[in-house]
Amino acid sequence: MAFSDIALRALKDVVGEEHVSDDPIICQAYSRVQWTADGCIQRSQLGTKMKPTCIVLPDSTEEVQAIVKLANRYKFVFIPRGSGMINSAFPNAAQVMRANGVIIVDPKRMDKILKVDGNNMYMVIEPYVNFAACQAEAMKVGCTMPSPPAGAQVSALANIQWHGAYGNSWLSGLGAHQLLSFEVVLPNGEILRSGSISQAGNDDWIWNDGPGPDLRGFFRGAQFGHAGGMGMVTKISTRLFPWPGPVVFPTQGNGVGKESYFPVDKVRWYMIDFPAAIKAYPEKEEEQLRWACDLHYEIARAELAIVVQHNAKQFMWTWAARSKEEFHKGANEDFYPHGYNIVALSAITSLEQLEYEEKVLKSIVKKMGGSFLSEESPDPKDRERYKVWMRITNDWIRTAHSMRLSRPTDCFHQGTACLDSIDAVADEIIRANRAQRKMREAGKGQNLLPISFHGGWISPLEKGYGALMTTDLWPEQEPEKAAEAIQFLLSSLVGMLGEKSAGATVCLLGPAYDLLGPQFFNVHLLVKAMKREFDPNNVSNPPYATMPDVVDPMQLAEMTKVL
Amino acid sequence: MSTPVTTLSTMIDAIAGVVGKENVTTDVETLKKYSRDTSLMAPRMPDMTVWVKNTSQVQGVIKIANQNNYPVVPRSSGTGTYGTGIPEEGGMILDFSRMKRIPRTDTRNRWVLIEPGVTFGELRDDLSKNGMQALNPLLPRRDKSVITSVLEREPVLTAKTECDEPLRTMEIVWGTGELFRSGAMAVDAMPAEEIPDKTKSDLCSVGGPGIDWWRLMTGCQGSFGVITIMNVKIFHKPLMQKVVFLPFNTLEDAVMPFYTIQRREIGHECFILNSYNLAAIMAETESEIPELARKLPPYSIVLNLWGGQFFPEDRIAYEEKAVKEIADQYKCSVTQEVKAIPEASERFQSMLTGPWEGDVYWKERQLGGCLDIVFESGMDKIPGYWNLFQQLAGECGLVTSTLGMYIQPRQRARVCHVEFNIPCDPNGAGIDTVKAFHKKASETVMNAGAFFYRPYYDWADMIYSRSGYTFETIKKLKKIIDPNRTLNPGRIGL
Ligand SMILES: Cc1cc2nc3c(=O)[nH]c(=O)nc-3n(C[C@H](O)[C@H](O)[C@H](O)COP(=O)(O)OP(=O)(O)OC[C@H]3O[C@@H](n4cnc5c(N)ncnc54)[C@H](O)[C@@H]3O)c2cc1C
Repeated sequence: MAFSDIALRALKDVVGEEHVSDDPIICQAYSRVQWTADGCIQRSQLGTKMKPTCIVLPDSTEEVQAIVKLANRYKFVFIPRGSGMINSAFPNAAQVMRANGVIIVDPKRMDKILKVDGNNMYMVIEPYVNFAACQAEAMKVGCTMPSPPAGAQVSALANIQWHGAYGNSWLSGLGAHQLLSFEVVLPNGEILRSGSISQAGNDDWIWNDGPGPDLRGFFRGAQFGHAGGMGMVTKISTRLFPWPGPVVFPTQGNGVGKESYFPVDKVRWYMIDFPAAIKAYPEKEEEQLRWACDLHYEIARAELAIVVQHNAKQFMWTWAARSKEEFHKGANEDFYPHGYNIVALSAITSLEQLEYEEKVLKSIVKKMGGSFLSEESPDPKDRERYKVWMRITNDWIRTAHSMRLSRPTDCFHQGTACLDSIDAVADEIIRANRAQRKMREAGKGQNLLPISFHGGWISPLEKGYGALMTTDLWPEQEPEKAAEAIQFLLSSLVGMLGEKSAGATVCLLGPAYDLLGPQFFNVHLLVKAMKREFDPNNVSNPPYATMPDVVDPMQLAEMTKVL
Repeated sequence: MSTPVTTLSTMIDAIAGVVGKENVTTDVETLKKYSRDTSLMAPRMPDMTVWVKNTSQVQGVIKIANQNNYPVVPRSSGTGTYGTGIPEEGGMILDFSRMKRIPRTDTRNRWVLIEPGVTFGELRDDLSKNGMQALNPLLPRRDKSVITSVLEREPVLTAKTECDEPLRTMEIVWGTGELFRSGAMAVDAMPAEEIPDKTKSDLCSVGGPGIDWWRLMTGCQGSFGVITIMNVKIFHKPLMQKVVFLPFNTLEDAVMPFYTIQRREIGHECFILNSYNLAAIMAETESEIPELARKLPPYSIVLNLWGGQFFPEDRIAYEEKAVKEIADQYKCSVTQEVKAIPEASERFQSMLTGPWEGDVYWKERQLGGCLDIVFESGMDKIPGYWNLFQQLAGECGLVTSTLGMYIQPRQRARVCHVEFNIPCDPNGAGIDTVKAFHKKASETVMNAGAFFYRPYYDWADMIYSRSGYTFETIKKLKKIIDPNRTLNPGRIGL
């Protein structure tokens, strides 16, 4: 059944004519993922055909429910969307080829912060509230909300139900940890309310687990949620953390020249360098990462800090550089010669507690032979490195500057990602970097930024009980070049599987369920059964969460050929 | 199994074929013990109790049961409290109490790997060899399984956010007898303790494979899957600590000091007890409880200041100063002494790390039994629920001074686990009145907005009848995961 004017009329009837558009130009604007390598390839496959049939803007859960019911009746695909930063929020080739119509459910009219509870440290939000707004409101009640390096402009709800790696994951863990109660219109049109709001008549959004089984487990995955493949989330409550102030985020200057400094009696940042004997990069990469791990474990044992990370050199320079020109110049000059350990302490209990934490941190670093960069560092270059980083380091807590992350080539792709212990994710960085060097020796991947410009991001979670890592690639915006980045990710995955790395267990999504499920106790069969049960017509952003049926290996090879 | 089992005796033979005859019993006295727990819920007799000692036996037994549509009720803790292990539809009790290995402790990543039969006392003793400590709930029963406690989401004493969900990774046997592993344990089927040495997994990543099984499996009272091994978070023992008390005349007065202590992240373990519960825990003998309760402040915040691993004196000093500031701010006091309880601080300190050591459980000390009302709420709403509960108790003719209350902050008081305890004599004349009150009070508190997150006793109907599609979702998931309703059938309405 093709998408007909009957379906279009019905959609208009639900949300009002002015909130539906099938204007080809507007639909075209909803067809592009700006930054990702996958998006670049997708566009090359179907060109301008790769656009939704129409855009629908509901303003309530009931309207979303009505839209989903229509999708089931007329068998068109619906894609729930936040701010649309990643490719799964856009039509894909399989959906377009299915020819029943693909609509994007754009939540721009569902943009309210419904509640901020300072005492119980949570907030209730609709899908089009971004992190910037959440953070501003949280700080007013003495709290802070973790923000992703994806940027404060993205939908907080979309991020929390889908992914969620944060500047201060040290405190918060991942999006899965941040999710409290949630309301979702399931693909079959039913409304599921999980956690404390599940009780009829109860509008207390305070808590998540139960009644009985914790249904966040059904809705979220380790690193990813269902990418819109299990209905549309319409409201969530999410966690806030204590914040010592200031109440308003301090900034000075404009645009890329903006700088931000917290009062030193509230928050202090530290940029920690390796011992002299292991500073050479990339020669001493492995020693550096091992040292970083030891440092993070010691900070965990001491129970300090609100931010702890090893930041890759490219992370630091993409953020700190103020223009593309400055970026490429600094990259060539190796402005940041290697990664650094970044720590923030804050006066949550009192100034005495902040002083105590600083004393402990200094004693740990001293014992380990490391040093702190500062405005008094003996090497003038170190002084400059410190000053430049301190201009923007607060952004870990606020904007995180994702746009700058994709700036080197205007295209970005994760080379590897892994979750497990701090040690285990450091192993993955080392493996990914070795693989990348080998690839370049073989004459491949020349369009990806040079390997010396790397180092890997170690982001410990939940005060060191776990960790996340990523290494990143910047291919140019051309399909073949982007494909190289994706190839690299896939070969990383193959490497992880070969070595039985924990990283392989966290990336099951869409076709990956069929690829990896048999290795992981046939988990794909269980999740497929869930997809069939709750999405009998397969209308909620297929092929996510996974396809309802087991995919024939030949077909799977075809589907992932481009990769 | 090729031939279906048709009689109880062939079923027993088939099961004995897997675990050995000596590990199956049909002894009536033994079965009677398994037919009930302390919840006062109607007993149901199992046909047999089966003791297993490893995963392959668990799989073997469950496969037979599943093929024959025969119920399996998993049980790890010796004593049940809330009716979760009563075999609602008969069948067998699968007893894990002999699976007691603690095969690996990782002090760097702060976890310990345990089998379901391991109790809190055993875990404490094992961990202390490595200078580590378990995340304990409040004085658990001596025979309480750590894994059961974690799966039941029993709150731990520390309010630290990162300690709130102790579960890491686990091995699951589904109702079909198939094996599954969650999180970073899914990398291989080799013995879990070998994984960190032989693979690139340190058993720290909790989620996946795919969805978050580590959460879906909690709170399901053994009706989704059976856990045969799990690693849980632990932490380093502090070099120094100090328990202090903040007494209050009304619960309302405690609200803001409590929030402020947590917001300023002071101390580690922290909770509120009313005078009755404090007395039930601290009295030398059972008979002294009422008298001691009268002498104690109506409500006390118990707070363990935490020296940690580095410069412990400095840390305790700043924490102590901050608590004093809060006490000044809210015009209350903070002391290390409790009138009428000698050495209260020291005694509590040792109680934070282990199980209840007495013969009779502390909640049951005075009257022999206890019914609980367990829910979650923000601290700001608890005084309202408590007043409602006490008022109703008075109306039902109960003595309000012998009712217990315990508030456990989770994640720095983002939410509180709350217990209202009703001590009672299970064999006394008034037991029916108490049971009726328990039911009525549960309903009243729930109607007022308290979130009953654990469907215990006979609450499942009450909770799920007002849960809309939530319960439908749970039922559908049960059908996918355990299509023959093999595991703990009838429990939580499934
Ligand atoms: C350069 C770059 C850097 C990034 N860095 C990070 C990072 O550091 N941390 C991080 O967490 N992520 C990161 N990401 C990934 C991603 O962009 C973020 O997770 C982002 O928050 C997605 O938010 P969004 O509003 O753009 O969501 P969208 O892209 O609109 O949606 C994300 C997915 O969720 C689904 N979805 C959206 N809304 C709903 C809903 N209401 N109900 C059900 N499903 C829904 C969509 O269908 C889609 O599959 C990065 C991406 C890029 C390109």
